[in-house]
Amino acid sequence: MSKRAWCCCVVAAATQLGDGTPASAQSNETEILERIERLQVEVREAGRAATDAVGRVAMEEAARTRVPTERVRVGPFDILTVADQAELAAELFEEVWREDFAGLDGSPALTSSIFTFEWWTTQPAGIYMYPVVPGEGGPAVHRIEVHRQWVPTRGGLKLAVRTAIWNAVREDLLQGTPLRAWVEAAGIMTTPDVYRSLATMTSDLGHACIGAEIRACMVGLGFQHDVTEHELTDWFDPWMRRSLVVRASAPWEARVDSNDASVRACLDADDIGACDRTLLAIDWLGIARTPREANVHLLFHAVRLGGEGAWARALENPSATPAEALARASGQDVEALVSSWRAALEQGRPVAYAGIGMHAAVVVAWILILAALAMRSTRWRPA
Amino acid sequence: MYHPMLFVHWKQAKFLLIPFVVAAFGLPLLVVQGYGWGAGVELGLEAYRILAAYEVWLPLFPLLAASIGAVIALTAWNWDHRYGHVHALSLPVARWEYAAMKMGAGAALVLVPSAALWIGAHLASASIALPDGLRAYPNLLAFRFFLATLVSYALFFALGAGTIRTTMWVVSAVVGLVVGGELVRGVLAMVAPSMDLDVMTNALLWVMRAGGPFAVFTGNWALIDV
Amino acid sequence: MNNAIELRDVSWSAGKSFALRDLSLRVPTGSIYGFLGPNGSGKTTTIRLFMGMMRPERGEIRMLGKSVPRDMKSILARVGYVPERPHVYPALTVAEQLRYHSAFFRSWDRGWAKELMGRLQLEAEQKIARLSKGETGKLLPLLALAQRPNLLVLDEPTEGLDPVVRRDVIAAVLDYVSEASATVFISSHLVHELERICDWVGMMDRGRVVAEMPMNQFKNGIKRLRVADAPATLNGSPFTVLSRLSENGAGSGETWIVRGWEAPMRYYLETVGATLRDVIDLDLEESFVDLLRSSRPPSGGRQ
Repeated sequence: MSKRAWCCCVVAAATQLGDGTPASAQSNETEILERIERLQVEVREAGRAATDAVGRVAMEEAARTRVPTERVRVGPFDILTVADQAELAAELFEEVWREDFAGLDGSPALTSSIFTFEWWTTQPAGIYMYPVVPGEGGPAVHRIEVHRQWVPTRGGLKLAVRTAIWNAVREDLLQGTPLRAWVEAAGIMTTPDVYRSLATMTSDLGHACIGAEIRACMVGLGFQHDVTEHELTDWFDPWMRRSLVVRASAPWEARVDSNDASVRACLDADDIGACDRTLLAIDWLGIARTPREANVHLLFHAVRLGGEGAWARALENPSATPAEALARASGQDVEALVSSWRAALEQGRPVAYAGIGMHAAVVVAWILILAALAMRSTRWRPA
Repeated sequence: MYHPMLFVHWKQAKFLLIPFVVAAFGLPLLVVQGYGWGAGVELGLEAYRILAAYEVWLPLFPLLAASIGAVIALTAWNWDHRYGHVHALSLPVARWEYAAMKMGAGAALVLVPSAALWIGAHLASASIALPDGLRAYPNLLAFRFFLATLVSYALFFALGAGTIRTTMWVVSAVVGLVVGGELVRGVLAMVAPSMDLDVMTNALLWVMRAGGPFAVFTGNWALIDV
Repeated sequence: MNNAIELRDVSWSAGKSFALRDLSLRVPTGSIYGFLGPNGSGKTTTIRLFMGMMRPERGEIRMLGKSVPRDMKSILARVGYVPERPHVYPALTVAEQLRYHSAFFRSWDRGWAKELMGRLQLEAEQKIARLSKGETGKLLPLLALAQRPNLLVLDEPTEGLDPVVRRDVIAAVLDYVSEASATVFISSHLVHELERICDWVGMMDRGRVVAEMPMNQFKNGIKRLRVADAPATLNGSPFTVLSRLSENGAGSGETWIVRGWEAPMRYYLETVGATLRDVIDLDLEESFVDLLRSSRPPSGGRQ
């Protein structure tokens, strides 16, 4: 029985007990609270017992169906994998490390993490961590289990590895720090995907950024907080500006009073001038920034540029703003950093029909091979 | 000799080819249906939606290319097989010359659906107002489609060129490899769970990888992209 | 004499069911060579072998002085071939089929093709799929003749055709031969048809050539003899006894089928004590049948 199910049973039993005893018969409210507290302790103990039981069952299961595993070390990664996938796992971690996390050395989170890697087709072989990871306080375990698709791609495997590493590394950024908040809830993307996300942004802010307008990048990434009227009208079309006012006045944003006259004029009368006036008077950029995945990408770009010790420098001052942290990590001022990041994005732009030139040559070669086979047909007389 | 051969192949394939030509022409138009037709005021929001919605249709392009290639190849040899290749064998041409001309004739026919797709893709691109950041790639899509159709055609043509016995041998070998591989894998999974001998996946990986014969069927088939 | 087709000790087999063994054949240049044999005797297989459509396991084949299959391309440029079964594309019209076929032959005579089309009453725009059997039977020789070949190979060209069409086709072939001095190799099991037109004949049975000779020699040389008091064995006979059959019990009288018979040979029979009662002329069909009977082993069955 799972821990969750066990807890449910205990809570259900407690509820039934309560139902069996009329409320009027209870001495007083304190007694009820004490009873609840006792039950909570019992639930916790039962939960622990359930965890132990699950652990025991898992260990027994592991002993029964255990597959040979192998532990591989690639850079800072400690990887536990099914023996015959060790080479593949090492290759993937090596590639992802080189492509996305170059320069990320001395990560405390990574040194205390174990990655399990398994690429399975019909059912997971099941790498049980209990024999490897001793109880609480041990290393964090990041499981990578990829279901083998009918037409598997290396890209899919690398995405799983990349995401697992990012989930591990993210723990280095302390909760509540500006840098953590800046990348909070963001996934990790490859350079072509970041380019694609900027190119398909709902406003022209992203287009302007990849179009070498560094100021647009700075605003989009949240390093600058003011825009001119010209920039506002340039980056956001009238419909977008009105949409921004709608969102800024929504109860969960509450960046502007929805009863404000210019807000009403904007929303009720579609007065775009009023929309612009509203936006220029408030801090609204938080709702129209570039995707947070771009922030993560920039963070690792800075680390790559900074080289040795860059990650430590980025973490050095927990109260530093993202711009300061990135500047320290990269050793460049933030504008130069953003500029080089943009150039890197441009370079990594997803070429539509990537490699069509060479690809065409290879395809033609295959066609010729097949044609040669056709001409060797056994049906024919020799000639 | 080539022109009469092309003519004969056209006579043989034209009725089968017509629905495919229509499909190749219509598919690009179909996939942009409803996106940014006309003025396209809400273009900013459209960009992501266009890409996301378009992805659903992408597998149809390689599928169509593969089907067209197969149809053209099978019609190339249909008559020869039916009459035991007697006519071809009584002609004063070397076997490789005959097969090469026949293959060339089929390759020319591949141009017909490819051209239809090219026109359809251009019309589709012109019919929508693309948001900033997105571009249409009708030429490259048509080129990729042409190459993929050609690969499919060449494969089926090579299979069809042999005797039925040869073809059966090749097909049986492939099926045997897949089925046998799966059986061996099933047995291995019971006796030695750590050994994952996945023949089918590995074979697919090999043919679909970059540089493999079917790599052209994978990859980017988007008419509209960044 | 030059041979247009020459097979030497050619062997070929299709598993255990059928085989051609040590097949030798010579078709003199300029002859009209009738290739006779019952159904399944191996006529079409022999044709396919020298047409290069199949590879012999052993032996040597030469056509028009060149080696098969090495020089097949240049050989086939001079050979008109009418296969046993129609091989033309049904979706084409007659004119389209002619155009397609003509593209492969430099010697194609467009004018004559048109003339033959009129003579054989074929419509240019008629779809081949809609042609009657007789019309298809005329189209195939037309294709072969219009390429003005040095050698015509006709595999059962009149099989299943009505007498009128048959006559038209044969007439067209004979006209061409008389004009172009081409060699014709014509395979058939219709003996009467060949009797009229061929000057050489080859006979095939069960994968073997059982006889090959000029037609006149064949027609005149095979006789049925009725003999009395024949000795059990003949020594130094000037003719070949193909078969002997007792008439009314052993010794009283026999019927012989002989090859190479000439009138003065009756004296030979007297020297061995036999009495010749009768000499019966056989027509080609009777000769053919008797020859086949005599060539088969008594137990029968395929070789």
